[in-house]
Amino acid sequence: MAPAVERHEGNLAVSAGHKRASSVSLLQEGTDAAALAEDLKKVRIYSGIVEYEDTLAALVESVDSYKPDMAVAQRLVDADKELFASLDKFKEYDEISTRLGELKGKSTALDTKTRDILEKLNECHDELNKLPYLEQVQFEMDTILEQREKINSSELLDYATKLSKFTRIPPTFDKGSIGPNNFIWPAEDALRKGMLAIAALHSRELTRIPGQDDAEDKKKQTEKPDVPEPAPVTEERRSSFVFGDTSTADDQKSSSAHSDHDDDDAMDLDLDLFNPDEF
Amino acid sequence: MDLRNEGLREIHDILRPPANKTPLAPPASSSTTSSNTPLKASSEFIPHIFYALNQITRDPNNVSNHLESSTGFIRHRLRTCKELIAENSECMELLSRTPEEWEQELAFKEQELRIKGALLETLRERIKSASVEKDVKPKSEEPKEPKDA
Repeated sequence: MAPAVERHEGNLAVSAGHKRASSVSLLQEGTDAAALAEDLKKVRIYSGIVEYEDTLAALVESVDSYKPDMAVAQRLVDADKELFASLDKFKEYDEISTRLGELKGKSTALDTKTRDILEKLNECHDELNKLPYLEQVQFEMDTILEQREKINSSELLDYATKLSKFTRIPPTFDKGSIGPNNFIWPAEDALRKGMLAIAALHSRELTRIPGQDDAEDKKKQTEKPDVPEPAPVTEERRSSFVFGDTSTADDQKSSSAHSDHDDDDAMDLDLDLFNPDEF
Repeated sequence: MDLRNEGLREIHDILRPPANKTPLAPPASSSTTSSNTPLKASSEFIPHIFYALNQITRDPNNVSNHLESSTGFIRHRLRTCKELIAENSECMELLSRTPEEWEQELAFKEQELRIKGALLETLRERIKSASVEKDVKPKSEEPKEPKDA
């Protein structure tokens, strides 16, 4: 049911639109007809024809009704004279039309010629405007020469180097020849120089050897007699006997201490060939 | 009448057809009064209306003798002329003024054209003088160079 209603409403809308369009077109036609009628009123021969028609109709009506009106007949004769008098002037109108055509042709030719000349003049004006003025060129040249004398080349190059970081590369420039100085970040050598400088400040810490440092630390500790050092608790594994081994004094002491207690073991030829240091 | 404007010629030929075309006058055999009138003059409508009226007065009881039917071709031609004038805007504009008014308009247009021509002539003279000045300057400078050298 609803679609049917919608369709009906749509049809109504379409018909309303048609009515609106037709009314608009009717209005337009009405105004056009009124304008045409207004223009036709000015045409003398047209008015003569209309008058002729009306008078002839009146005469026909009076004659066919068996009541001929002589006044109407006289009016018809006058209208006829007027109409054909207007027709006799057609020769003059024809000449006027010919002259009007000639004048129109001449006017069009002159307008075309004038437009061509003005376009050409405009083009010349544009071309002349594109050319620089001589005084301006001389002034600019003098100014450039004066400024060139004032500018230091090194300052100019420094400024250009700074400026080039924020500008685009010229299209003709070879990108392969760009050096690190042109980057907006610090160059690699500058970074490395910075690291080396930091390393130079901490050279002792960075260049120390772990073994030597322990010995030096012990020497420092021995140089301090006031400070008692607790005896270290060593639960080290006994090292095996190695031929030609140069052991330290402590090792020798400990070995002699052990030798007192373990003579039997010393007499043993120590055939254990396992050396943990080799692994 | 030999007219060059097509619209005017059509209207003229309808209202007053050339002599070699079909005349508007009634056949000469059936007329007593119009037999003396020349065929050229019968291009106008009044003689035909008089002839029709005469026929009605002679035989008023004849059913075919009606002024309306006998003047039907006149009304048709008048209607055709009206349509031609209304459809041809150029013709309508031309006929909307009297020849005297057109003479004034033509004089005004000729004056306008003369002014335009004079303006173009002035422009041509100015361009010519400018180009002559341009040509003269280098010629006056050229002979100085060898003297300086």
